[in-house]
Amino acid sequence: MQKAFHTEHGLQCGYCTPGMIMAAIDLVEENPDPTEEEVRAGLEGNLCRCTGYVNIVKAVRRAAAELRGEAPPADAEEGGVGVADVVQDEEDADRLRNMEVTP
Amino acid sequence: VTATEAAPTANVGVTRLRKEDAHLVTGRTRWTDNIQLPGMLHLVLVRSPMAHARVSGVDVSAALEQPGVVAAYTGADLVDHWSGGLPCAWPVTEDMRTPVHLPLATDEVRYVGDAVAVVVAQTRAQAVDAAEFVDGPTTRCRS
Repeated sequence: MQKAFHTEHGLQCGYCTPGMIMAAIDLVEENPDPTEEEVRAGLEGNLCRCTGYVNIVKAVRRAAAELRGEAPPADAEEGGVGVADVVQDEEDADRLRNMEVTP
Repeated sequence: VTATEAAPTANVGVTRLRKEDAHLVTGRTRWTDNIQLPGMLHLVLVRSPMAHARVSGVDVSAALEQPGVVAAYTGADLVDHWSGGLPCAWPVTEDMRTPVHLPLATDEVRYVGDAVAVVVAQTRAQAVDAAEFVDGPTTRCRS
């Protein structure tokens, strides 16, 4: 879920991100394949004042797909953030790969 | 018109991933809200539910009795300590009227959320709970 938020640009300032990610984890545990609407309903009450919710929804659905063992959704717009399957910058890739998840 | 030389670079049109995400997505960011210092106290503002009203007799005595509360003040308690109100950074016209805007309202509130009192406690939860014990009778202004 954390990597999906990064890949889909599901955050800007990051203030709402911990709440979004915790709610999203709970959501996909209960519903492993949520529709866009179900994601939006599931995250209701978590407010993002930076980017809006489009990329957050994409991130949750991408993570859900990966958690189901499927390839990430391929319906991302051409040139959009969602197609960034290949991390352009090796430094970025390393940083994400070595991300520590323990608080 | 100056002709601009087309200088395509490898980065134009290429998705760039953010570099600052690792600490943001792992909950390791320090916000002012989660800074903890030794002996730190927490302040909560009590705000006006009315858009425009006179303030009469805001009472913090019940709040002071609540667990963990260290202090509670009204605007009237603190007014002598302030050197002035919030200045207007840009008076658009010479005759523009700028009401005094003190950190806490003393006589009149001018918007919903105008602060009228503060409660200081050892934890944020205690301050939030105690703030509910501040009584603030107000009279609606007619204007």
